[in-house]
Amino acid sequence: MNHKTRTSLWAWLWVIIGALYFFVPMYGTFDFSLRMIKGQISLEAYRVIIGDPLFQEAIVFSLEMAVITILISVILFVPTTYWIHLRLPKLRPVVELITLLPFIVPTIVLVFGLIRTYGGPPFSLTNTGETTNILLVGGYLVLSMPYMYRAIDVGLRSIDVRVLTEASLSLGSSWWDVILRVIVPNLRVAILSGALITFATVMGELVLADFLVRPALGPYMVEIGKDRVFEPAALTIFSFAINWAAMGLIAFFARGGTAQQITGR
Amino acid sequence: MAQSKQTPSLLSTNPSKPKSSINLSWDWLGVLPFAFFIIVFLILPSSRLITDSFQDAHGNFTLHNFVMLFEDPLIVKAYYNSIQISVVTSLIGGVLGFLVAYAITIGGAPGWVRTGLITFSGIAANFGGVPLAFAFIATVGRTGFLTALLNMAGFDIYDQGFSLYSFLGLCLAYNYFQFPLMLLTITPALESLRKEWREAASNMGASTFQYWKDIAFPILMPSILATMLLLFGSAFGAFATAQALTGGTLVLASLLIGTQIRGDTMGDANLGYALAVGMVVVMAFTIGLYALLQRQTSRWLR
Amino acid sequence: MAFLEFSHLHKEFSGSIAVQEFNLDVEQGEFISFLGPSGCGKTTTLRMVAGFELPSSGRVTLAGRDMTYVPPNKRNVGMVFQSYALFPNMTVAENIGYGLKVAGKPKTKIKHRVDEMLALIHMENFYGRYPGMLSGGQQQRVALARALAFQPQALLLDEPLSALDAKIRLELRMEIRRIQQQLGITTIYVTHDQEEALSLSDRIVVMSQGRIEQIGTPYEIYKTPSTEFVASFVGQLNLVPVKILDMEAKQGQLGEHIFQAGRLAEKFSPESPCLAVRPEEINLGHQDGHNNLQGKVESIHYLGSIVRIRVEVGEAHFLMDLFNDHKLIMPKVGENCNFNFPAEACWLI
Repeated sequence: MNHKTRTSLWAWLWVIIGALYFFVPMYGTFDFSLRMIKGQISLEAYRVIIGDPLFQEAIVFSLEMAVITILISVILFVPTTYWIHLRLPKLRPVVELITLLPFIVPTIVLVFGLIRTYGGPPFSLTNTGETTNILLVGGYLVLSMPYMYRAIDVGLRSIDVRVLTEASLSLGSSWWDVILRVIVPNLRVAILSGALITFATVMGELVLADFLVRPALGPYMVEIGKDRVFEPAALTIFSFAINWAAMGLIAFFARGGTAQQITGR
Repeated sequence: MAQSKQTPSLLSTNPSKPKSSINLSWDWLGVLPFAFFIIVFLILPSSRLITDSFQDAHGNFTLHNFVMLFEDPLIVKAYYNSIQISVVTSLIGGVLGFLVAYAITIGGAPGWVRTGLITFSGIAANFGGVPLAFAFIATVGRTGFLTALLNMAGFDIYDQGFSLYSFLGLCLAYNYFQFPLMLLTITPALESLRKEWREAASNMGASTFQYWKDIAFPILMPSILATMLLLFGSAFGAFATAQALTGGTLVLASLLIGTQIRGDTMGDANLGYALAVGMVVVMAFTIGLYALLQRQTSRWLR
Repeated sequence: MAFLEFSHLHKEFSGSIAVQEFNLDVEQGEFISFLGPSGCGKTTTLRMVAGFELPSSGRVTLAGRDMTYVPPNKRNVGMVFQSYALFPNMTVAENIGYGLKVAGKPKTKIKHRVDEMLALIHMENFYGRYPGMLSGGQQQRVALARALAFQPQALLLDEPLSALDAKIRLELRMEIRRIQQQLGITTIYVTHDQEEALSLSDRIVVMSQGRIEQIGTPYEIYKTPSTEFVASFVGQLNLVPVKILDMEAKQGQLGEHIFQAGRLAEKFSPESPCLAVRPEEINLGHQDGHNNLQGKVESIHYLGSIVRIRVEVGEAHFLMDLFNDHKLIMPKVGENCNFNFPAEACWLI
């Protein structure tokens, strides 16, 4: 139709505005992070960060927590979602409602409740670092649950779970075999997507770690932000790079997955 | 899996009907771990807050805390500010996201532009908290990249009254994840606007304006509104970005809860719990409306 | 000057030619079908009438007015889409009345017209229903009413029945023809279903690969196809490679059988001559004065009212359609059988 050219101009305008909104802050931050040494472009800010023992402790801690969270969430959510698909389809709307709960209960409220419920006697989980980590991982699991569930749910819907299970069982495999050898391999992309989103979430999370006083990356960034100027910018780029890598890997494995897989909504 | 001996009903021979109640109890075992997890880490903490919010300092039942939510000037201001910023950013983010989504779907932007923006949106939508705050400080803070650039051009934005560490600055930062979220959600909706509807409308004499007014916008409205509700909720519950940017100068509901957790600054612990519950109520209301609108969307846009 | 004229219409899409040298004159009130396989350019041509595609060159004229570059919302033609394209947020009544609403007609007039249209399609009770609650056939009837409500100069239908069940298709087909004749509106109907084209049209335009193969009445198209494509696309056709004995006398040879053909096709190709005969013209048994051949029954297909027998004659095979009445004696697979067809019923191509 002949008004296509006019639409395209209008379209380009908004594309450029959108792109600018995305890129200017990122570019600005990147530029800023290179200016630690006055008058020259250098990676000094990054060197300082990487050399900081507190940073190393923080990133190791966050990585550990991320891995633990991912492992538990896969072991917990994959069989559950599979089971619901197969045996309790009536529960699906209930579970979908449950995946909305982390949104209804914002993280700040969640951490409040966790501390209040388990902080004092009889649990006293906030008394030591290790026991507090239980709450931390629990919180991370709650945060990542919607994304994980959605990713696996989408994956399960794209394969005919019932038929595969019945075929496998009729050929003589046990339940574990079915899960490990038939279902999980078909869910590889879904699980990977969920895992990567969880990873990015945990690495960038602040509220839980801060209020539970654990040495994660988030609280470290807050500390650095208090009186340094260039290092925070470097940390931002670093954090952004983690997110980018995670999303990039998801896109690579999913080969053009849907927006739902990316945002988990 | 014993079944009582009776004449087989149509129900029991139909494989797709729910199994007998004895079967059901074995199946439910499979969701036990999940249920346990949800109860321990979500239900119990939340219900604890709820029960505590109905108590006073001596443990007696009272509604006083909730009354105070509407009377204490600090709390009212906090909720007011939170709602205000959520509404503003969901509108701005919503409109911007819609326009960019339009540009990459119907507007006909090239494929690579579209892929790039969608991918970036996926990252930006989850980007928040402290790094986001830092990014904006580095860009439009007092010594920020853009601030300096504009200064060189003779335009000092801080002189003009702009400050990143204010309501406006927070809006700017929030939109960084608001508008990508809108973009990601609305793009599929825009794509499911069938080309034939446009053609049919045009065929019957409708101009582009009439098509959008009578057909496209009404069809998209539930989806747009639903997403804006999601945006609202996102902003309302946000904590980290607000703290990093305003550090307490702007009173927000989430920040207020934060200070409550750290030390009872309001002199009444139970009030803090009521605050938290109040927040949950607002979010629940938001999500409820969202779910209703989503159902409407799926009716018209397959 | 014809009511709707296509002259030297040509359309290219980045290198590939979709429609070429399309010329057609349509009289007012005529029902024309564009018939052809997918990709033959029939839909593209239709869309050029509607204004959704612009021709690369050539002209479209409607009622004396050059429409070639007129925007689609100013052409005053009504279009019915294959996917119905009813607006989901509007009721049946609002859908039908939309063209009038857009034109700024007063509400009373719109209501009156909508009632008229609903009566025309026999759906008076569906006034306030939403498209989501209608069946496919019902939606298409509403789409038809919608396209006609604002009294366009021409009606365009793009494979309107393809998405429907066979039974509904038949019913709706007759509805469309009935309404078209009642209103006397010039109509162009695009389809790949030859039965539809044959039963509905005043004239058919058979297309293939962007070109017009033949324009003619259904009878002409079926009985005297001018090209091999038309002959094999419309109806079933046996095309058997043969040897020419005498071109003048139209005599040929197939195996050890000599046969007489009725005519020579316009686009006869001497390098690979074929005998063309329709399956329904062939009968079992021997008949004096007809071409008589013998072959082996290879397979029998029971199609209900027709029995289709495939007979092998050496390397070639014939499809034979026989009426399944009580007189029919079915041969057995593997048996030899005699069959015959009159000379006038076959031709060389």
